[in-house]
Amino acid sequence: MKRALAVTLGILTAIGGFVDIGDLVANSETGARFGMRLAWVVVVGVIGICVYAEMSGRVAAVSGRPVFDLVRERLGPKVALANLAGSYLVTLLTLAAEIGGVALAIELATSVHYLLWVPIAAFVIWVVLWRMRFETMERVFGLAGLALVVFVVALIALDPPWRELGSQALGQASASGEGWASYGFFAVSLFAAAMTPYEVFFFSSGGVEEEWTRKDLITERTNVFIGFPLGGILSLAIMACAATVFAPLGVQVDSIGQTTLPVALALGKLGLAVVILGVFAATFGAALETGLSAGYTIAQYFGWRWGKSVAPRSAARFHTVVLVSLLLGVALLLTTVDPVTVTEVSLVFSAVALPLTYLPILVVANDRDYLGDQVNGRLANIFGVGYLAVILLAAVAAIPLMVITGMGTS
Amino acid sequence: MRASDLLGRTVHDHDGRPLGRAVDLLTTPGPDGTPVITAVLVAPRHRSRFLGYERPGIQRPWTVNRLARVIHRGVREIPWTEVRWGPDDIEPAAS
Amino acid sequence: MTPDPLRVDFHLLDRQVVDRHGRPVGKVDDIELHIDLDGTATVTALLVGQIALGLRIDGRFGTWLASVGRRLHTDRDPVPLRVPFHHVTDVGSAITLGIDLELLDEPPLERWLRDHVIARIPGARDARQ
Repeated sequence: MKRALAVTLGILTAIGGFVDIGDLVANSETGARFGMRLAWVVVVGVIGICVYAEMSGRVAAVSGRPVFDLVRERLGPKVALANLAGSYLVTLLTLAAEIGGVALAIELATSVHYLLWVPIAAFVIWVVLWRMRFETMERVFGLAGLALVVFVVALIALDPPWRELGSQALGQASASGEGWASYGFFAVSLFAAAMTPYEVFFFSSGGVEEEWTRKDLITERTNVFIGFPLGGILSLAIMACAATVFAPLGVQVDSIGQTTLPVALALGKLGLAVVILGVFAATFGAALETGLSAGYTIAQYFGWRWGKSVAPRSAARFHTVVLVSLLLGVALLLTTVDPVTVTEVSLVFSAVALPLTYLPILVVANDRDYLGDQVNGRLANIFGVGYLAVILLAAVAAIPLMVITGMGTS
Repeated sequence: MRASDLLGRTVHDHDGRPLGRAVDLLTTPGPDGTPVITAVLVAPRHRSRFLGYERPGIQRPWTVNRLARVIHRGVREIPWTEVRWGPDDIEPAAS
Repeated sequence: MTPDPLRVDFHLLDRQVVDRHGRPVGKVDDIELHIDLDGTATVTALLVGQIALGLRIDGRFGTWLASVGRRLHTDRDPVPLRVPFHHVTDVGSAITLGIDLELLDEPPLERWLRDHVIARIPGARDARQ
């Protein structure tokens, strides 16, 4: 049992990258508009995040240094500051969206408008960040997020035209009737979401919080190679459900209620209850991940004490950053901005943050002074360099595509 | 005097010709263990971080290493005693 | 263990400083050098804190950072935290000191936020191991 529970850090991390509030809606929207024609991006994203999360976790286990320590020491204070600004904004905007997501999940269950739930949701999230042990937090929300497996069950129950979905995924089906720019925009957004930088901040810092050492490298790898592919499968199941239910009718998806609809159609009320629980746990988990990551990045840039294993009064600056970030998130939501749009805007800042986060990880993962005999092998380097090129390409393409497509609306 | 006062400054040779900018200071332990500066790493062009590829034996991944070397080509170690810091050469400090 | 040659920019600047129990002290934000009358230059201390970092970043943000750092100090002529180099026992992926965190001056921002914000919230004393 203890073995099985040891992978919850990987699962919770993956939730923030693949099934947080922005992704829950984006996956469904993609399925409705493109069928499974963008499924390959999820697969590419899963492999990419596995490669880099494994490196960052290995560096954390062997040298004890989390990701933002590497960013600052390899890139120097100025370039690291540019990354800090980009990464913090991505994390903060996502945190705001997740607080909204938790509130939206409660709205689905209660029919009371989500804005009324926002302050309560934020308060409960803060209490968990303030009081709960890191391991308890990771187990409760990692495991509860698995309720989203109901999308896989629903997909099987819907008995979709597997052949049709398969040929879309393999690129053999006819075009979806969407322009290339929209296709490109959704491809870049899905990829950036899968590789979003707070995943490696959270995963490596979580490894330090759990006091990983060289002996825990197996645990570290199990977390990576179970957690992220699982996130990817959930993501694909959501996309396929939407491709089956919405695409033939030409329905546009833009809300979390619509995302859950295929499950209700396939499995009835019980299914709906489970999916609402799953959405609640996933958004709550992603809120914890981003809330902590906001504190981790700033504290690690400046070298402050951080983490949940020290008493808050010994890490006052870290806990203040977490608290202020939550308050900023609530303030942003109370302007009545749509939480899902907020995650789309964060793509701009990912363009800065992604290359400047993954380059130092790749460089340090090759440094024998840090890792001794645990440096990257040939395969990790081939993938690492290849993905760095893809990340650069996506970063360059992101902003023009956003402008051309009006963030995917045209 | 702080390291940041020297790093990034233009380094000259004996005759006052500019050699480039100081990007790192190399030290070796002195008699009491405190590091003594022995040489200055001088780059003709960029003054950006080196990512660590200037150290011998650190050369992977190949692509990133090549790129780092192209960007930082022409980097030289100048012995501390031969370095001149330009017209306003540094003053010995009593501190 | 200390690498030889020890590179001031690469091995020291911007690395994490930890005390002998591995608890974070801060980053090496700058380095104090001492130049003798005969021109010999030695590394005498690590400088830690926003005042030192702000001067290195320069530009508007750096100036702001340094001025915030200065304002938080109660001294009339604030200086960054100075850690004499002879306290350094290891230069590796972090810089380890041979002393306890408590022997160094507490960062003023940490003290201020603890006294005015964090310590006032219930449960601030418990570590959640």
